Amino acid sequence: MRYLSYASSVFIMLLITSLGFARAPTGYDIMERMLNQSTWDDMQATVTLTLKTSRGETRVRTIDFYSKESQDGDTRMLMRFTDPADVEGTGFLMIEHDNGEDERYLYLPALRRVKRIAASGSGGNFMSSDFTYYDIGSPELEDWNYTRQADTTFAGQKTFVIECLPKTDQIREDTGYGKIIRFILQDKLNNVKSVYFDESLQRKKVLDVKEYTEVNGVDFESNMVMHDVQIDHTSIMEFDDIQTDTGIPEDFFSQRYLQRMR
Amino acid sequence: MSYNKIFPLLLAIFICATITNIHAQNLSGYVKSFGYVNPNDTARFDRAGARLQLQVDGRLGMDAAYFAAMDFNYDAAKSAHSPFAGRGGGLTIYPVEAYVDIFTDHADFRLGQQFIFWGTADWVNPTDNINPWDYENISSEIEDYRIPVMAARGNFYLGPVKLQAVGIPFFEPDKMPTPTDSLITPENRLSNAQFGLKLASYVGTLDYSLSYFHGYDQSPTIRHAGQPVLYGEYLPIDVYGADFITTFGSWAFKGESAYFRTEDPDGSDPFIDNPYLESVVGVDYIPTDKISLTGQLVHNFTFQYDKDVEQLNPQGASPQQTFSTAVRTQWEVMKFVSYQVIGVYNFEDGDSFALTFLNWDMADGVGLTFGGLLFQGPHNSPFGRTAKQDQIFAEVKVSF
Repeated sequence: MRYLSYASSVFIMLLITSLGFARAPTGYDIMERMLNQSTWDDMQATVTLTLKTSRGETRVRTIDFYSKESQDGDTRMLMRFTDPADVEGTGFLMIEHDNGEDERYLYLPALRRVKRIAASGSGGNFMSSDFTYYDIGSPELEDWNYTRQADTTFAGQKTFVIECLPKTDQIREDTGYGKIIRFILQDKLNNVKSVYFDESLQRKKVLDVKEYTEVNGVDFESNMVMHDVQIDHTSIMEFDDIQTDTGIPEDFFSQRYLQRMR
Repeated sequence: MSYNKIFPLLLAIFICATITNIHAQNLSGYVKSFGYVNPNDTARFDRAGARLQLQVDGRLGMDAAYFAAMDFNYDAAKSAHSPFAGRGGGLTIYPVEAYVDIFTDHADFRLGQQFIFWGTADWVNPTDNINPWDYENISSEIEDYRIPVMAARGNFYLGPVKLQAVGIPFFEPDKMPTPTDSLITPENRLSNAQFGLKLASYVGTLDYSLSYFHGYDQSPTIRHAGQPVLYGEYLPIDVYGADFITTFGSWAFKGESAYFRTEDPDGSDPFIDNPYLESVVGVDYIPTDKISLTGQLVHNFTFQYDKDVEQLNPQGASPQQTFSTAVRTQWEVMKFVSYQVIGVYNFEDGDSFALTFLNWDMADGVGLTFGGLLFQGPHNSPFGRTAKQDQIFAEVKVSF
């Protein structure tokens, strides 16, 4: 009897799953599957951030980047500038709490101390680039309403088009986005392009993912170009030497290690 | 510094650089050219020259690291402009920092010449009494206007609690003009060593600390040894401090307070400071990515205050309590160009000080700074006394 019950359960689950694939996936389904792809607990990489202005000026920053999803659901990121020399040693620690105020600490070698800093929301620019803290963080699936629009093709590949609208005014205010249109390849669920609209629904930025690197069997966005169409400014973020699950301890993401720059 | 000391220093740097190569570590630093003009004195050059700073740093495994920075500062305004003067007359060479770090599981130690800054407020920090100020060398760089000290520092970590212990064997005073004929400084002996303890922790988004410092007042107490002879003496102090900072969205709220127990606990000596409490409350606000604002209110209250006693001091009696404000604004004018102004205003005396500068990141590792130091106030007020020391400056800095 127990075996029959078990077999029935498996059958019902298979039926539900097959029904799930059988019906056309909704915008929510696609986003959920895309966001749940990453399989690592911690990651470290070397990030090259290139900033280009409309005046043709270019600045290149190199950053040692560490991140970890902690057991309590917090996302921790620690960054250290290694180049150019005038910003070398500058460190930044961000702890995104699932529930509660995010924490940000800045270490400026010139001032020789770590300081807890206020934040201009997750819509604040990351290291003076066109990426915001929201862009580089882990998006919360439940923060947005998703509408699937007509599929398209991108570089010859079938592509989902998802319109994302913030569920609340607070999310709109925090992220600085009134709408995001995401282009997601149908075969690998790679988010190859996004168009960001500001709070007044004016087109603000366009993200193009130029390159993916396979990490633990999942494609990781390793070369991203963000163009702010309103101020004609471009930032390129490239990830190299990506390592995952190296066992970075949680206390690494602390004031102690932030100031241990050398 | 005499030249027979410079050669061993250069040799030491060469050896360090060689060792650095062996360990494949980091040799870095900067070269900068600077000019400081006093607009009140027919545009006299106060400082004009160039500086090379060499930095050597590296790690020795996971348990130790080292860092050393040496300044070679040539100030043409300070060299003797005479056909008989040596060409190196305006050259000064001095260590900025030189220390060794030792790391263990639950404690980190730093030994050597270093900066140790305490406090959560900006610019005015009552709990920050370890590194003296160089009031004659105010610039955009903290290592110009603060003086490093030889110290041993230990940070001990127990969960969310950090205990910091600091020992400073030698006393180093503030560098400032004093109206004295002589100065009495504490002798370099163990019994005169300074030390401090700081306990820091956090609850949620609130960081806080309690601190204690035993040492010497870095400003001299001015005494009379018969008219008109004045002499200054650096007297012991004990400082009991506390500070906090917390954030809420785009806002940060902070406070810092310290009780200074002086050598005149009952307020009977008109020449020595009475015990006093200095407190700062402030707020940081980041309305946009391009602007950050800081406002602080500073309060100073003197205990055991007797105006009749205080008036016996020929320098004049200071009020029992004073209020001042310190503000700071940083604005990204355009990409790679930022403007910053720091201002202090004393309500009682009506005097003020402002440091303002414009930074342009001309290229990777290349910065250009224009700035000004402005003092204003009645001639007998703290900033009014230096009202003719205004400066306008420009610096070009190339980091490598």
